[in-house]
Amino acid sequence: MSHKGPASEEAMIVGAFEHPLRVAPQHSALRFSAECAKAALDDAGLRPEDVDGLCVTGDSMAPVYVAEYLNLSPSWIESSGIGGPSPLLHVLHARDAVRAGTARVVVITYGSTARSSAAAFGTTGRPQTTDPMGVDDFNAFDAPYGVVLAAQYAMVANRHMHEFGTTHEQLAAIAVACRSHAALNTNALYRDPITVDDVLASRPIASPLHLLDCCVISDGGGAVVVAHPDVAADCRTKPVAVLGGGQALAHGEAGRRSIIHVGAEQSGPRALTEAGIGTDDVDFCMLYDSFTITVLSTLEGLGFCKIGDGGSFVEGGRLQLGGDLPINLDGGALSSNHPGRRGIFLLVEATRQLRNECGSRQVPNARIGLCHGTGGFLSGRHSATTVILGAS
Amino acid sequence: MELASMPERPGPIVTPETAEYWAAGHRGVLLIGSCEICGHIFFPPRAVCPRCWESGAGCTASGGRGSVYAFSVVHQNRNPGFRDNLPYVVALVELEEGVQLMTNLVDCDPNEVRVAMPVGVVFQPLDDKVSIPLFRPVTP
Repeated sequence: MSHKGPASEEAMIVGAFEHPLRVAPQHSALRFSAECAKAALDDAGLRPEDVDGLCVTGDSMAPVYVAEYLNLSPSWIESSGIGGPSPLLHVLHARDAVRAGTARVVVITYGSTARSSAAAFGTTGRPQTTDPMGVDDFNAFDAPYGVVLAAQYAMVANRHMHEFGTTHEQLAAIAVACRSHAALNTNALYRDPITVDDVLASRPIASPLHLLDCCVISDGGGAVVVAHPDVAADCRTKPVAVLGGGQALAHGEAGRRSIIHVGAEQSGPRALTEAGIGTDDVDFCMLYDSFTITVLSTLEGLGFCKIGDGGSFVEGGRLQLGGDLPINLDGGALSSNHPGRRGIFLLVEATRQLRNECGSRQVPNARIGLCHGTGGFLSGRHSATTVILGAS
Repeated sequence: MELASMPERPGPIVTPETAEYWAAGHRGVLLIGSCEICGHIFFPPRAVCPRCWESGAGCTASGGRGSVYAFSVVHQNRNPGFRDNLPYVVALVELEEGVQLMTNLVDCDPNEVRVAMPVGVVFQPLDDKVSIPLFRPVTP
């Protein structure tokens, strides 16, 4: 199946930037967001006065603060927060806004000081709150039990092993693949090669997940620019098309959830259908790798293999550069960076791959890249967003 | 991990909608959601039925027995109440009534926990109003 290609009026990604810093105690989150916005515009050859749309996730008022920091006055704003995939959702909303004529140049930016703030995303629970507008009432049913984020993901791995005989060695192959790509990325936080045995020998965090099954925590930021095709025609970059998108939510299903099924099962087919392609047409994937099990579940959910076959699918170097389906060419959250909301980096790397500018970690002849973000708790409530990008 | 070995663990924030659930625990009763309109059984309990969307959904007492659906042995948690009690077992338990709930497994060696292991409820009082359900291995 060949993809239908972008319609001539479709929005394009014209600029992309990932901040090179990983540990930056002197930076604020706003500075990261601002520097990334500027650099992504520079990449496109656009100027601040060209911008009429702004997307920032994090605090629900984040766009207001970033706009103030940059003294920007956008006429289209977006602050949707669904955890890690938020920037992917922003791209789909920005595309729709450009398509509808309500924005022409949208900057999607993100910054965070997660590492310097000592945010322990994976080993703390989500706090209960008494916020009168809060939606966290159900957290009271988890909070007394010390259900750290890593354990929420670990239980999916535990159940997957029980139902399908999946092994820790197979999960470890995902971490090894990401590290092999990080070795080719001079900005990545961890670049020394690792083996399956290294993953198994690292200390346990929440069984069956060990330290090297878990993403790093870094500072950092990134940005992309989505623009009308008329604008794209004048940009200095080769534009990248948004071929399709899909969104989904998953949750406890009132106590009757089968936790091996993830939101990607809904968002993936929606995105593939919109793009008019099948999984065989995808040249590479950028998958939110909060934990190794996240990648395995995502690959199954997206339809690259059957549910339950993920363990054997990820073995044998398939996910590494040169394999059938290279993933996370920047090294992923498992090795390169994770300042939260990693969806932005999936977009940045996919865009650069589709512009054929990734040097030693370039996927040869990359024409179609699939980005998928998972936010929240894989074993319970989580969000999923799939965005399929195409080279022009 | 011994029962009542985590006295500093955070208690739940009790709201008017969930007060009955936590108070029942203090009487040694595990409640699950039960819709008086359509008969749906669900968890966690809530005021609006997640099947028919009618308000006024109630609760019914669970028999308190089930099996381990999935679990994780937690080795890192720096929060008070947990950091001095590592490792401990977090589990999704599937009750015989067909619904899952999050809990800790107690009175067992974390290395001996298995999926599908039969378990039964016990309650740990956190204060004079709230007791939380925990589970421990039972003979089938």
